[in-house]
This record gives sequence, C-alpha cells and structure tokens, in this order.
Amino acid sequence: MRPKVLIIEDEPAIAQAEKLILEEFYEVHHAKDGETGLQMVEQIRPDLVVLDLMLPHRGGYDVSFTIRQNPKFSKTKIVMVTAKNLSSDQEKGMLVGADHYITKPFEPEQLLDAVQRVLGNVSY
Amino acid sequence: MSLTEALHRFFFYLGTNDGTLLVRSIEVLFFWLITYMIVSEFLRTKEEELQYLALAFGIFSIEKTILTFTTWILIFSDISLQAMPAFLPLAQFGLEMLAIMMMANAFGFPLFRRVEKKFLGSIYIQTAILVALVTVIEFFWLRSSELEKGLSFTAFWGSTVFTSVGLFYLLVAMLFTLKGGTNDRYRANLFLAFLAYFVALAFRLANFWLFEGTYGRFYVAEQPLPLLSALLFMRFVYLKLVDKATLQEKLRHSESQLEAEKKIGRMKDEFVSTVSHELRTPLTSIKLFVSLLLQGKLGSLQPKQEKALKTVKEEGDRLANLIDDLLDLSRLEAGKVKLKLASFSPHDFLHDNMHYELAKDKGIKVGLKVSGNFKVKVDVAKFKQIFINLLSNAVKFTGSGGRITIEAKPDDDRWIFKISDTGKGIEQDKLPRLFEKFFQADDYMTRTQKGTGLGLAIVKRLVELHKGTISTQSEVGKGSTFIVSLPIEP
Repeated sequence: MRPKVLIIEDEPAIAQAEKLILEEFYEVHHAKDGETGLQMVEQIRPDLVVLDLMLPHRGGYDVSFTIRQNPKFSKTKIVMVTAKNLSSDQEKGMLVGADHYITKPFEPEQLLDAVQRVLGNVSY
Repeated sequence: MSLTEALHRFFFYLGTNDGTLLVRSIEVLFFWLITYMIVSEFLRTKEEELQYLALAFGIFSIEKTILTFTTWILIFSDISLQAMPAFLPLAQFGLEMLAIMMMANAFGFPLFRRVEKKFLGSIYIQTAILVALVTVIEFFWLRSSELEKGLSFTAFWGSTVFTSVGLFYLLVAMLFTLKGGTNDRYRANLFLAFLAYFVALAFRLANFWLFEGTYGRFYVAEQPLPLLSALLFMRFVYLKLVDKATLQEKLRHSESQLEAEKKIGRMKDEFVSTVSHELRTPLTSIKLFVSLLLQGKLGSLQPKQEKALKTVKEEGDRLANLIDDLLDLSRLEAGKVKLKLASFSPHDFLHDNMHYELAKDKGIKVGLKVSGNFKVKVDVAKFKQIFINLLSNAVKFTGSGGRITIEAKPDDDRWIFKISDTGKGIEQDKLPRLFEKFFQADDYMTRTQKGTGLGLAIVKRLVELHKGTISTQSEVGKGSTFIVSLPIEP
C-alpha cells in the first residue's frame, strides 16, 4: 500500500502542482484550510502532511502544534512549506514539530526529496 | 562751540557727580539686562556652563547697583562720603573683583570651551581667597581708630589689592580669548570687552598710585569704559544666544525630518515584505508547472516548446532572485537585519573550490592569495552573500580565458578582502554610482547571468552592517577590483 500524504494548502494552483508531483508515488489528499486539514488528519490518518504556513482560519503553526499534541499522530510526519525564508520562522516551525521545511518558491524535486527523506524512503 | 570743546565739556560732565550717576545708571541697567538674559537661559537649559556666567553678571549687577546707590546718596542726600559706612565701597570693590573672577572663569573654560580647567577650575578656592582679602582689609579698617585714616587705608591699599586682582584676571581672560579659549567668530568682540574693562582698571590703579585717587582726568577717562565693556559683553552673549537658538531650530527640524524618514522606511519595508510574499505565491505555482512541463510529467514537448519553456524557467528564477534581493535590501534599509557574529577563517572559506564552479564553467581561472591562519568575526551567511555577489559580478563581466584573483589579509585591527577581474572594466564616471539600486554599469549581460541590479547595493549595506567599507578601482579594458575592508571584530 502506498503511503498517504495530506496536502494542506489554500492556493489551488500550488496544491494542484504538489499533487502532480507526489501522486506518482503516494496516495495524495488535499485540504483547503487548517480546520478541514485537521479533520482530514483524523479521518485519513496520513503518514505525512505537507503543510502550508500561511493558511486561513487556523495557521500552519497551529495545525502542526495540534497534530503534535495528539499522541494518536505521533508517527505522522510534517513537511512545512513556508513563503518566508527568515531563520526565525524556520526555527519556530521546527519547534512546533515540523520534520522538514521547504521555502517558496521551490522546485518539484525539492518537495519530492523532502517527502521521501522524511518518510525514510531515502536515507539522509 | 568747536567739537573739541564739546567733547571736553562732555567728558567733564561725565567726570562730575551727575555725569557719573548717569553713566552708572546706564551700566546698572545693562548689567541687569544681561543677567536676566543669561539667568533665564540657564533656568531653561540648566547648563552648568551658564551657571558661572549668570553668577558673574549677577554679582556685577549687584556691584553696579551698590555703586550707583552710593553715587545717588552722595548727590541727593546730606550724607558725606566720610559719613558713609566704609564697608559699602569695600564690599563694592570686593564684588567687582569677584565678578571679574567669575567672568574670567566662565569665558576661560565652561561656556564656550573647556580649556585650562586645571588653572581656572578651582573656583571655590579663588572665591575663598577673595573673601579672605576682603576680611583682612575690613579688619584693618575696623582696627583703625581714626575714621579718616581707615577710609584712606581701604581706599588706597584695599583698592590697590582689588584692582590688581581684577587686572590679573582680565589679563588671563584676554590671553585665553586670544589663544582660542573661545574658538568662535565673536572672539574679537570678547577680547575688546575684556580690554575695555582692563584699561578702566588700569586707569584706576594708576590714579591711586600716582595721584592717590585724586586725578580728575584719569577718573573721567575711566568712567565710560566699564559701560563699553558691558555693551560688548551684552552683544557677545546676545549673539551667542541667537546662534544657539538658530542651531536648535535647525536641529529640531532635521530631527523631525529623520523621524519622518524612518517612518517612511518602516512603511516601505512592511509594504515590500507583504508584496514579496504575495508575489512568491503565484511564482511558486508558475515555477512548479514549468518544471513539471519541462520534466515531461504533463506530456512530451516539441523542441521549440521546450526551448520556450526553458526561457520561462530562467526568467522565473530571475524574478525569484529579484524578489529575494528586494526583500533583503528593504530589510537592510529598514535596519531590521542584525548580525550573528561567529569566528570565521577567510582562508578555509575562500579555499573551498565549490564557490568557483561558476567561473570554471565559463573558462575563467581563479587565483587565490589568502594569508593562512587568521581568524575574524563575521556573520558567516552575510559574508557569503557579499562574496557570492562580488564573485558572480566578476564572473559576469569577465570573458572566457580571463582571470579572477581573490586576496585576503589581516591589516592591523581590520582585514582586507579583494576580488579583481580581468574583465572589461567600469568607466570612471560610473564608479560612484555603482552601489546605487538598479544601476548597471554595463548593459552587457550573458544569457545565464542576468543580474537584478540590486546585488552591489546589498553588498554595500552588508559591508556597512559589519562596520566596514567597500571601494572600487577600475580601468576600462583591464578589469576591476572591489576592495572590502572589515574590522576583525565588528
């Protein structure tokens, strides 16, 4: 069975591209905002969440924090996608439990690479 | 009546009791005016420097008041000079000397420049000596049984002592004024003010010694001089205060201007930061889809389509760089960037071959002249940005077969980092504008190395953030050198 990836991204174009990149290897789902994203995490139990930092309703940090708070999802990996390349933001992202992060704009390989690394398909 | 006669009469009038009263009344008025000006300025600014000056003119004013009062009594009452309490003229002399002393002190150092502090600084000691003098002279006067004798004693010896002290202080004040103790454009004015008072006292002393204070001409000649001195002092203080007020006004103006500029800077930074964030989102999807297309994930491409898409991709990358540069520069300009200093070895960093792939790809030789084993403190990420920007600039303007030389060496408490190329060089008249935003010295650009026009502006800001300087030397056709000088520990 292919690993499940949930993309939480409010920009439809980016979400669509991410889906195109990942669906070759993974079972990909998509949520448009943080609130729906968290519900889908409950329903689908994804192996990995590709999480946008700037989300409507509930922001990326909040979603990441909520997932990490719940022991049920202790094995769920998180890759944060951020539009800010400030180190303080990255540090904060890592702090609330992201396993990896990539900065917008990014190349398809960067996303695929990050997801594969975090899921352990490729060793560090 | 001839002019000479008129003058003669005028001076004669000044020498009479009436004339003396007139001159002294005017003096009193002026001295109180100056005192008022200085005291009100002192109360407003609480500057220590004004304190001595206020004291000096305050004492002068009191002294002149006593003097005028004495003269007034002599003219309008029946009390004779002999019958007047002798401590009054004595106190008046003492006060005059005290005022001159304070004045020499005030102009000698604090108000306009702190010089010769050692000599003039001990104002309490000087005051104590003056008070002791007054006491001794008063004591001798009290001891003398005969009133007439006592009075003449105070009039002669007391006046001699006080006048000599006054002359000494005025001489000191004049010397300091000449030497540049008050380094300003009203120095001549100040010097004349001291000189007028000095001459007045000199006349007085000569009169005491040569004629026991009875020679009318000297007495007359002395009279207008303290008034002239007061006028000159008043002019000086007034001009000083006007200058100060003008300066403060200018300062206030430039301060508010600076504040406004800062505010605009912050607004601009917020705007740039928001805009660049908003630009990155669509750019992300554009770049992703172009890459997916190029990778053939969305179907195979014809060669022409592929070529067109590659151009789109390159331009997309350039746009991404421009957004990064804009954001960087805006944050630097808003003063939001802080250095994270760490120990750094220029030798190890510059010998990392990875940096020079770009040059080698283009067939450019890279030469290194780096002193070994010296450590500096820099923000490593920011130094890397400076280095990459300068290097890619050099690569950009150097043709295949050219040479880039990189030097680094310690220089006292700084270190120098140089990067020279054998490129086409920059015209002299364009050098000063090189670090401006969006200024391109040459519109010659390779297909692969398109600049954003912000690279050197960012480099300059980053160097300045390290408290360093950057300069350029260039000769058209021979090449350019960028010289960065940084403190070893910023």
